Amino acid sequence: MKDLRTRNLALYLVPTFLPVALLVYAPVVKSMVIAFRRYSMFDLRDTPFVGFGNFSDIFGDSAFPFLQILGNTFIWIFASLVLQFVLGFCLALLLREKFRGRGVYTSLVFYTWAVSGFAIGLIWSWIFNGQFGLANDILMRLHLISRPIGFLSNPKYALVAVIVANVWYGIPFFGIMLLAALQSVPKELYEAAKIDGAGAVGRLFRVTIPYISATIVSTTLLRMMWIMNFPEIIYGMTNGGPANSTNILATQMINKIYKEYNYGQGAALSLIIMVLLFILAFAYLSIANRKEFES
Amino acid sequence: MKRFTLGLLIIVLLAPTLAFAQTKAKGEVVQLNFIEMLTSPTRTAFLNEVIARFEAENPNIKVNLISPPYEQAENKMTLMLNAKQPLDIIESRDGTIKQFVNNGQVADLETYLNDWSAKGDFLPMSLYAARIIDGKAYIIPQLFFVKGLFVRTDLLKKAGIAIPKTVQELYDASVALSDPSKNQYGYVIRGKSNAWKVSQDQLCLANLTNIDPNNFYKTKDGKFVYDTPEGKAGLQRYVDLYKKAVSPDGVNWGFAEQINAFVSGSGAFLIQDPDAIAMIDKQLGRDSYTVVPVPVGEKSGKAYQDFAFNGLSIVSYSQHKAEAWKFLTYLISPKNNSEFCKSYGALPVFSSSFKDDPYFSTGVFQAWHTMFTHPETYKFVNYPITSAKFSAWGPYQEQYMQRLLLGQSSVDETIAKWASYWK
Amino acid sequence: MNRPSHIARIGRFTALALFLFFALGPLAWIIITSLKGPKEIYTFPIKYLPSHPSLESYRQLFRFANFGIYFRNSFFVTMEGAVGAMILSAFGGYALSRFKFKSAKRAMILVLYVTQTIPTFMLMLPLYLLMADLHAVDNLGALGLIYMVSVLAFCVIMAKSFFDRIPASLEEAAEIDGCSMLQSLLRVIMPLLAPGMVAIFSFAFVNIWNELFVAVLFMSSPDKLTVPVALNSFISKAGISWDVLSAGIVMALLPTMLVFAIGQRYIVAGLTEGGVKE
Repeated sequence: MKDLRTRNLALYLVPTFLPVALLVYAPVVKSMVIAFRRYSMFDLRDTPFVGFGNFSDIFGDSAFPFLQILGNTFIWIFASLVLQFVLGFCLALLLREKFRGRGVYTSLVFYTWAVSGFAIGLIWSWIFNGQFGLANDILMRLHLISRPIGFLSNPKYALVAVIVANVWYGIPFFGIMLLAALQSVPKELYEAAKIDGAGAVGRLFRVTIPYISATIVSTTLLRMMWIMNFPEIIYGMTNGGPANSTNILATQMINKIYKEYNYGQGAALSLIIMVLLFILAFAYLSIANRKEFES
Repeated sequence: MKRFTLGLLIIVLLAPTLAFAQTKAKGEVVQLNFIEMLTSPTRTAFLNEVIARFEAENPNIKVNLISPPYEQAENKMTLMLNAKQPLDIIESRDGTIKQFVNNGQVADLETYLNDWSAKGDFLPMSLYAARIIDGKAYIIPQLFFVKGLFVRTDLLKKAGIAIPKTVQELYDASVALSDPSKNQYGYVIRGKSNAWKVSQDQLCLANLTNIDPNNFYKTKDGKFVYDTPEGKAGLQRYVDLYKKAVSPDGVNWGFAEQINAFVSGSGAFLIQDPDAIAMIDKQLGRDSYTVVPVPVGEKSGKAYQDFAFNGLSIVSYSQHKAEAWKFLTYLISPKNNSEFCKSYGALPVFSSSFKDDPYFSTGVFQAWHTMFTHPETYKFVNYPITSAKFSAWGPYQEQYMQRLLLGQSSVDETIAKWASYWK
Repeated sequence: MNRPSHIARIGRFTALALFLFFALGPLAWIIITSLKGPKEIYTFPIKYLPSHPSLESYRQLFRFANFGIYFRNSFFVTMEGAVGAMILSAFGGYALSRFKFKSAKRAMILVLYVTQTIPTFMLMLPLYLLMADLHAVDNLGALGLIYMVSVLAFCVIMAKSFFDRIPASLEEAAEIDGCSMLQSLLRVIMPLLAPGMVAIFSFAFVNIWNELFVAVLFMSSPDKLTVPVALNSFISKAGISWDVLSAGIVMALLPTMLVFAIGQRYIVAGLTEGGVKE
């Protein structure tokens, strides 16, 4: 019986892993090969093997300083992640107890996840427009500023602007997942904690969070990878500018491919992204939750 | 039950493949695949209309128009060509034709060209453009993009300022018009997305006298153009213009933002191609603005622009080159070309268009007519489009230019970096 | 049972209101923009309400674009991808959750997570060349398949975590009662997981519907385009027509908003009701 069971389980795994192997991993390997060649669409007759040449070009690029891109990437990921998570968690906590109209409310408040990346970029660049934008108008009416700010043309504010748009988009993901997880916490645990004298905050940290930790870990990990690989918002709002201030690895990769037709460097950048995410994921999972791999 | 499951899984996986059937055109109808790249709703509508007329006159040829969104169109075209997807006619331009020639993806059209009845009607520039790579006709031009100076005449009248003729006058007028407290500025800058070829190089380099006509970035004695006293002074003045007469938001301005700034009146001067006219006309009347020739350098008396054009090429592996040429010359014929340019806002490639159609020599188009008929003042030069470094120049230049405008670097540093790129 | 204090209730209400304002504000702004004529869009100070609200942009949108066809194409491709992913992930997630060999299980989970590290752009070129060789470009069925595989890893990961919450004792009990493995999965476990499946479907649907770059690359015929591709066509060298584009964004948003609004309710309604208490 056990053997049959295992064999069936293995069978159920094939329709998942076979397509993934063919349509994801096989193409990736091909791309990785390109990363080690000089490969530009400008002249396909000339694609010699250059070893780590593309990588050294990327690291030493004076027009697009790599450290700045790396820094932007980290700020983009972690600021977005922390803000989305905290706000999403707050929202989930607020929604945990039923109230009249909760169904309608959640249908409305969570819709931002349904907006396409391209539309988000457009909507928020329109809001942050330096001359006709809503953000400037509101700030001026509140007398917080006297002249419009060029949010997307000022290196100081541009990264903040794109992060705001990203947080607006990502709150529902955490809101929904965490709300679902919160629903599964047995009430008896709260009763027990109350008997022990724990206040609301104490219950949060001693009962709620530990109980849903597996969900917290898997959702934050996934979201982190998605934020890294979802450059559409930045692409639509600033395309990495001004002066490299919102350029992240993913947008640099897109620009190398679309503007310069330099697929070799584009592929090298995607390899860097993958390695970086792999390291981050490994570190995160090792520290945060060994249970994820086992349960 | 197990087999049922297995069967179900297989069907779910394979069902899509049942839709893999490829429909092939039957009979003797020739199917041409034509991919455009300057996609816009109006333009695609126009092309479909021309195609309908062509198909009515040629019942054995069908033209399939592929219109990817503008921002991804060239990338898609490149990949389709690389994968040898069925394509017969592609829309190429000065910036991409060298790439297609390198990869052997476009056909040499010399024999077709020489047998063409309309060849004699071609402007000399059009013939020059067609043969720009290796002296062979790989591209048949259909649109010229030449810059003009758009002026808000109503704002100038209110301030009592005359229309500038030289770059210095443009500078002075822009500064005079600027009043940041009223959100009013003089000049509408292009801050990103190929700012260098839209107006930056023109304004900065206007005072040079010995630019190499085959390479905008080199003087006739081989120096980098910005590495000259006139070039450096021009760049410095451009930065001053930004600081004194341009909205600080300008660094992030692409085409759309430029139009917005011009029609909303927050800028009075704009250097742009004629395709801005359609957009501007929608929101502004002709009594509020006009177009004049681009300003000349006050010391050189000359104005330089790049020789920008777009056209059609026939794919080298096309199986229907004769039919493709038929359609190509139908679209690029004096009558259709004029209509096309009118609806799109570019300049036609036939001399008869300029001679016979008053549209192209009156009203706002007077500006371009003047520029074309005074070649001693208004000079057209080529960017180094055959260089392998050309496609990466745009992003490179932009980074340093933006840093310069934002005050993060100096004019000397910027010039040094640019010079090192073209060494 | 503590009665929430007045302050707590007001605080909660305010917080909820702020969240709603933040979420809906931009949408309201886009809707307003789509109702203004082109001359009213670029004014400073900004007009908050159009003086002559008109549906002209929507009319223009439908005049220029074959929106009915694009909606149909998007729907076909998205359903194929989302339903396919949902079904496959039910089996895959179940198997992964119940698999006994620890190291193989770890490896497989890792393989799935790694797919999420891959930037789509890296896949596009080789995938396009592969599909071109198979004559599967410009083919909606193939596009649906690609989309299905693109969301499959996430769906399986999520499905596995849902299955983890349901103890194996349930299906074991059913099997002792005489059910085959498949029967126990379909008849006993899946009903408990219905909300989870709806959740997975909603996420898959939204991700696929909104995808732009792969659709642009793979689809060429004008009658095979999807909604995001069509909308993106309103951005041309001649700039962005904000009024028509706003109308387009509103139109394109409706299906995903609807699906997601329904889907998230299922999760909020309680994911693990009934199965966990032992």
